[in-house]
Amino acid sequence: MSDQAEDLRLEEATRPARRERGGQGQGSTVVVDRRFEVEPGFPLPGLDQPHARAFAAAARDQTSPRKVYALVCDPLLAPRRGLLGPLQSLARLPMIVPLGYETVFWPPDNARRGVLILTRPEGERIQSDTRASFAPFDEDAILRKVVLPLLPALVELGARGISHRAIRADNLFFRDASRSECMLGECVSAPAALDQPSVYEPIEGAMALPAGRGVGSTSDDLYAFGVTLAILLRGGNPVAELSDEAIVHSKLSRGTYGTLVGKQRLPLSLTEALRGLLSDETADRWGLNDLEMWANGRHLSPKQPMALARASRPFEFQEKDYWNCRTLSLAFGSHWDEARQTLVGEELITWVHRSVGDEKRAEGLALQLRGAQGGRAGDAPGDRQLARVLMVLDGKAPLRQRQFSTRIDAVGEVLAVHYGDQSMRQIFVDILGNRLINYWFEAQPGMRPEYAVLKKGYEQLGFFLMRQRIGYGLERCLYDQNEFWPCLSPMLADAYVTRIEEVLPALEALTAGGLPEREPVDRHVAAFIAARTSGVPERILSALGREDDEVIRRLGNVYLLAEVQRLAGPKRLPGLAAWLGRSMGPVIESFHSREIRQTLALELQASVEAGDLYHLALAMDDGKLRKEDDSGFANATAEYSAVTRELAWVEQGGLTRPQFVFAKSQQIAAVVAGCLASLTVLVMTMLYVG
Amino acid sequence: MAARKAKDIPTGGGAGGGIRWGRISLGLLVALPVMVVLLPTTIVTLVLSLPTLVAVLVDRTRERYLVATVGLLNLCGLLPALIALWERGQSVDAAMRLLTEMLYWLSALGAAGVGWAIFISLPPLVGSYYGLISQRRVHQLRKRQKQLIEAWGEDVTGHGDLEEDEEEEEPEPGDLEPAAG
Repeated sequence: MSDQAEDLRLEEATRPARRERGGQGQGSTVVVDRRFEVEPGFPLPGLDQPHARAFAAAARDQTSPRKVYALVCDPLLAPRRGLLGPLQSLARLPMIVPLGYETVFWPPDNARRGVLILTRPEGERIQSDTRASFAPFDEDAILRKVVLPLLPALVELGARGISHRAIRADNLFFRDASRSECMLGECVSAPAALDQPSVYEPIEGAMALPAGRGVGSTSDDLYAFGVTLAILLRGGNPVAELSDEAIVHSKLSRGTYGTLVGKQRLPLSLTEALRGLLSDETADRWGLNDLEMWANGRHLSPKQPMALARASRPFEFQEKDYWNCRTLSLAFGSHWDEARQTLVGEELITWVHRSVGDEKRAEGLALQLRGAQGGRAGDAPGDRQLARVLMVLDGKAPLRQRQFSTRIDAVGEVLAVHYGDQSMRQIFVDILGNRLINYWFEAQPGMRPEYAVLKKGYEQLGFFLMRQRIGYGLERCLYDQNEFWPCLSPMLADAYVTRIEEVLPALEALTAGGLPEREPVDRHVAAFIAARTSGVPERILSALGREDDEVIRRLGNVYLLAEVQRLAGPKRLPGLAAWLGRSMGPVIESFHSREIRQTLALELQASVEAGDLYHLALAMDDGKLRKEDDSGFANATAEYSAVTRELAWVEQGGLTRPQFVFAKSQQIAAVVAGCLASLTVLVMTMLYVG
Repeated sequence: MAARKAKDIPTGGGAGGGIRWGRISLGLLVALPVMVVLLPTTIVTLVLSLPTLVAVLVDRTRERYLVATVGLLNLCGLLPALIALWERGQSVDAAMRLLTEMLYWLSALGAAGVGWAIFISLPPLVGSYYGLISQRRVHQLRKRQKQLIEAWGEDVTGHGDLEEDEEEEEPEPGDLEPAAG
């Protein structure tokens, strides 16, 4: 609260004064999107988001009445840039909307960062953090301050097919200082639902990692809205002390309504809305129409939660009793290694068969477990088998293998957010290799239209993983699945490159302090370019992977970056050209002719000075010149060989050997004799005739 | 080379021998009447051509360069004697008398001797000449090798392959052709 108050005081400060202070502070203002100025010297901690830091900002057009602030995004994540356009037009709605975004140099970090400009709320945050308590809202306040003001925003978002995925009490703001109405906080600074505590997620989402909750749907937003209402009514999160697993377990056992409201008595009308919004069955959950009708005073019959089928006797695991398959699946997923040991033998199959009474599920388990053990009793099932067992136990649950747990539409996001974790990368590879995604689709009761698209995309990932060479592999999966994810190349760590247009300028900037030792194309850069540009020729990607042929590999580097320059510019890249040019030594040396090498060196110099990568690539890979060089070299080699042999023959006395000399002497003697004889006959003839 | 060697292999008797004897027979058939008619000339020629006959016996090479060398000059030395015989009239008596004159012997045998001298004295001279040629050729070839290395790099020498080639077959003069110039 105090931070917020300080922010407001800062806002009151005059613009020139702020500029002065900013100039004396951590640096001058940063211009974003040509329209806004951000002041790195003025943080706004009250507006910070879990993965973004807030700073004071203002529109450059001083006539603009709109107050704005800036969020500097986490460099290891990607904001939801796909929503920037659609949300900009919703500025009239009670929600913080993004007005601009740009990747700019951020002086405090001495690196480039993605900076969002958003409309600034004039009121404060309702809940300062996810665990904070506050004065509970009564029925009237809930309706007047929260539901009615936010309903148009929810309806508009739903109509446009946008899921907010950041509706929670600590992301709600009072619209103004009078605290009469609320507004939704921003939802673009981090991947969808990443910042949501698990209590705000439906069971399936809460079972997944925060990164694996996916974009979801309006239904997920309405669920989060229901949870928010419950928390506002109770003046804080009633399950703040519970672990994520315990929260999900409670939701599975008692339902979300029971978990959040418990035995607290609520007004009937609110009970009705909360039961509808907090329904754990997506099909039964209230939609926007239901909410609108309720807000307009039409009362609907409260939804009664459907209790899970209870087994006749419990399954004991980790010294706890489990009475249904879904909770047991949750426990298995949370204690992977222990679950593998528990599944040795047929105890689980017997329990499902006899106690749960689900023949079909028991058969599915038998298929997995007996198949896994290959007929040998006593072996623990592998990760793949356990993952499949979990799907049999709870088909709605996220795709899980060890700590990797994700909704089916967020597999790529989990990889991206946890890319720095080697074990998560390995699990991702195993999941694709074990075809668990396909199995998950098969385990669903019905095929939904969106599954076909997802399935096709994941098959593509399998193709990328099969090819482990540069330009493919895990890196390609990462960038192919996450459109706005920054390039994670260590070289570009400070550049925050998210678009193809930013790659070459970032590499060019690296040459400002001298040419780096390493090559400009590593696995991340190659995969990023391949994923962000359609139609990088396969021959270029193949060339990049030719570790056995240094010349082709280096030419591949040049061609790849030349292709990017052709597609996205800029036209002059002298630093990068010099960087690539330095690595062209082996290429030039691969020509045999000294004359050609000298010509190429001149061409290289000209290309470097022009900063033209395409010209550089063509100059270094001149097929006609290569052909001339090859044929010339073949001729020269043959000639050298002939010369060498003749030299050896001459040095070994080929011309002075007695036999050779004698033979030549005989010939010469005969010729000389012939000449003398002819001369003599001629003289005698002249004498006698004369 | 191979063709030349094949050609050198003696064919022995058979058809080739028959043809040779046939030619000799034909030659004798034509020559004998001439020799009978010109008997004095034949006598003088045969007697004064003794050095050539010796050369024919000594030179067993195919090319018969010694026969050509001695024979051509011997024939030149014989001509004065034949001219004198024809001036004195074609008779055996004149031929006998002529063979007793030292001048004609000196002329025929001297000329043949010159031929023998040329044949014997040339090899040392030719050897010296080829010695000089060899030095010059070595210099030219080394220069060319250097030029090729400068223009195409050390790879042009193809070390490994060349050594193998050299081991496999010994170069022979007939197989070698000058690389350049």
